[in-house]
Amino acid sequence: MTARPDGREISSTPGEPRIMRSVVDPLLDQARAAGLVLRLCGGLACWERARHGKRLAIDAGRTYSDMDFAACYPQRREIINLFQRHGFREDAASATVPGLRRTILDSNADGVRGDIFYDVLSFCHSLDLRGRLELHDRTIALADLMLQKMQILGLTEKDAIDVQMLLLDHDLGPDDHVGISKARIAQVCGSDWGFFRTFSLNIERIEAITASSPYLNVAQRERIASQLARLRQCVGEMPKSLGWRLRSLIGDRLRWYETVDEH
Amino acid sequence: MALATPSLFVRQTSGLIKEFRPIDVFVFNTVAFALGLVLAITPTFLGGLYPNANIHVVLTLGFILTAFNGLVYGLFSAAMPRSGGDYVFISRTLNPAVGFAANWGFTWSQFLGVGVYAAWCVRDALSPALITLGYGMRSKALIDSGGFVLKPVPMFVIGTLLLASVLVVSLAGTKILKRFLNAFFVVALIGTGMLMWVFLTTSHSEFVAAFNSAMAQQANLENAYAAVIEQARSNGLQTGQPTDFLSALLALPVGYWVFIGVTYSAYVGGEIKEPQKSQTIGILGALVFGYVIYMITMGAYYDVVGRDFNNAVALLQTLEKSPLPTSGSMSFFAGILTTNIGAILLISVSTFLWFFMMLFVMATVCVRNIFAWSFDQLAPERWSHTDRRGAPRVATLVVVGCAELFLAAQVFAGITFMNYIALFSVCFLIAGIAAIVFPYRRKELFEQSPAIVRRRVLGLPLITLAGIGNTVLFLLVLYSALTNNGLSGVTGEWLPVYVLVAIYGSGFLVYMATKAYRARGGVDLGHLYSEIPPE
Repeated sequence: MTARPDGREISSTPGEPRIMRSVVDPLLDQARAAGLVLRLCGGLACWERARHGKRLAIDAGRTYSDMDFAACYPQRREIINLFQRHGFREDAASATVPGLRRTILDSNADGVRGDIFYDVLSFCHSLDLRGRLELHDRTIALADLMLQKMQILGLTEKDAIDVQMLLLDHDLGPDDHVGISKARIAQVCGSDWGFFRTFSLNIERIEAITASSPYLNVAQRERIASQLARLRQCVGEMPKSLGWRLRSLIGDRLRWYETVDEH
Repeated sequence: MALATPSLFVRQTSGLIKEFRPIDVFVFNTVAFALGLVLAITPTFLGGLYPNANIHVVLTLGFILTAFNGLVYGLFSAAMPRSGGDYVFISRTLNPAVGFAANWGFTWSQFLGVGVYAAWCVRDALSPALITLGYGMRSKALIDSGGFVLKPVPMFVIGTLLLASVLVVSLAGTKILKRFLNAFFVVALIGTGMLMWVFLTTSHSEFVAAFNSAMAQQANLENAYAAVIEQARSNGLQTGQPTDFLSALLALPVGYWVFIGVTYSAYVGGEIKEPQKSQTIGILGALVFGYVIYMITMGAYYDVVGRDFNNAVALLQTLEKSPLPTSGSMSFFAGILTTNIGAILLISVSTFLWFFMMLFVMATVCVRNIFAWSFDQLAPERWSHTDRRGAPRVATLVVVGCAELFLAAQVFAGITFMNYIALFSVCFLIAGIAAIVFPYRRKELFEQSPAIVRRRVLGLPLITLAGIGNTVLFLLVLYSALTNNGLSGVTGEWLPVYVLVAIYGSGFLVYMATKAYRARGGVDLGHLYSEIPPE
């Protein structure tokens, strides 16, 4: 057993990513102690929120080489200082871009890399997290985790495993207090046709991956498939904004996502 | 505690949403050399300095040598895709103190440029536009207002408003700035297209008739075309002279001057998508585009207006004896050639926009340089602070504040003690030297650069060859800028040189003082030089 500064005790999990204990936990704990809003997101957050899903990640050989965090932009300087005290350094190219809501961290001495996103997760689509970072004390909300993964056009197998982990362990719930909030997913996908389009494409993609994933047993496949069907129903039945409807008229003829730089 | 030295290279996959695509880089650089502004004022600028130079030869020589300059910055930008441009290139290749001092000098040239061009925006764009429109619409009020805005107080007030707009748009973020530039670029380009069309579809005799008619109606001057040439001749102009190659060679600084800014995307390197491709395409694409437009339009202009007449106008303007109601710019003459008010308006708006947009590009370059210095702890950290919306408020205020001071100095006193061309040329010259030695002095960086940077020609690295061409170019430009006051616009023999030395010298002093200050805090700025890219 290991004691945290806040007095809570946690037990280590078999197969837990090494950086979880050595890097992520101290960062989250010290941020909390300093009054900083810092939340884990991305693959490690999916691991953190998984129960049975952890076994799935281990069986699938999911590895974790970097870490993503979400934070509040006004606390940017203090957050960067915290990471610098842990041996990380800001990537110069991104640090000299005014107004960029992201800090890219170069590898520390152990080869761990990371990203800190402020207020908004910007990839193929933008996910505004303002006012939602404090819904959970260590990670962003489950629905936001799901949306973070599902906004990626060209989902990788790693991303698919993360989504499978979430769907295996968490039901769709009415709001953020119970499981993955349908209301949040509906709000995001119902106001942005582009997000909805990518989300829908990814449901199909994960269905295909799930059907052929050797690391899943039959029960897990059925569970994930039924969850995906509920997700499809959720985004299909949600109320759509006027902007959503107008954009849907153009459809795929106009690029509906941002391209991220690969260099 | 000592902070870790920042890495020079971005991770292979940053996953960043970057604002500048190749087309945006192209627009940024074309706006930076202000294509329409150059078209408007270059013929009389050249005519006043080198009347026997053939414009096509001048442009071609300038294009060839500027291509070396474009290659140096394009290849360096691909190797080191970071904001700050030559500050990064030189400090990582030669020495951090030299890199900072060079970029410091360049940035001061841009502070000066933003302020002075804000004034010239009024003098060379707004005033001629109002007067040209006044002529076209037969409106004395417009013609009078064109003269009114040239008075110091109105010019300062309008210039200040222009700088305020730079502040507002710059604080709105890069995305807004990019959209702003792209939208106005289209309008400006359409106006330039109209300008081209006017000169391509007009004969010399039609111009003479139109000019004589306009001057007879508005200035009560009969047979004005011949009168202008005769007046210039009586003031020493030799007419009927053939063009000669030596004059074109001497006019090389003008041939480069028309492309100044074509490399400015190097200063926003961290925001460019696929920099390996975008920078080279964006820089060289803008250069080729500018060259083609210049060759066609200026060629047509000289055919229509006549070289003797152009040179006569240039000389009389220099002697302040011009009978023209405003400066003899290409857009003014185009306004005389068409009776279509819409066309005149479009050309006038276009000329104004080319001046106006350049202010935003120059301010952006300065802000990025300040961010680069601040990141390397060479400038106060708070200078790179951003507000809750991510706007670089402090850096932008520093830039606009400095520009406002230069605007006031230009309007109320006239800045003739700062040699703008020499100021940035020193920096570009050092960048050329850095390019020559880059593959040898920073072998590991060179070997890890993208393939385009490692390309060799005749066994020598392309960047070294480009550096040699760039160095030759800026030795010539610098020599001309320091010896030809007509080119540099300065007065006095030594004061501008002292100012130049003082600015670059102060850069070294600032670096040394900051290095000593940081050393007391346990930070060795010398590590900036020795950093290597992560494996």
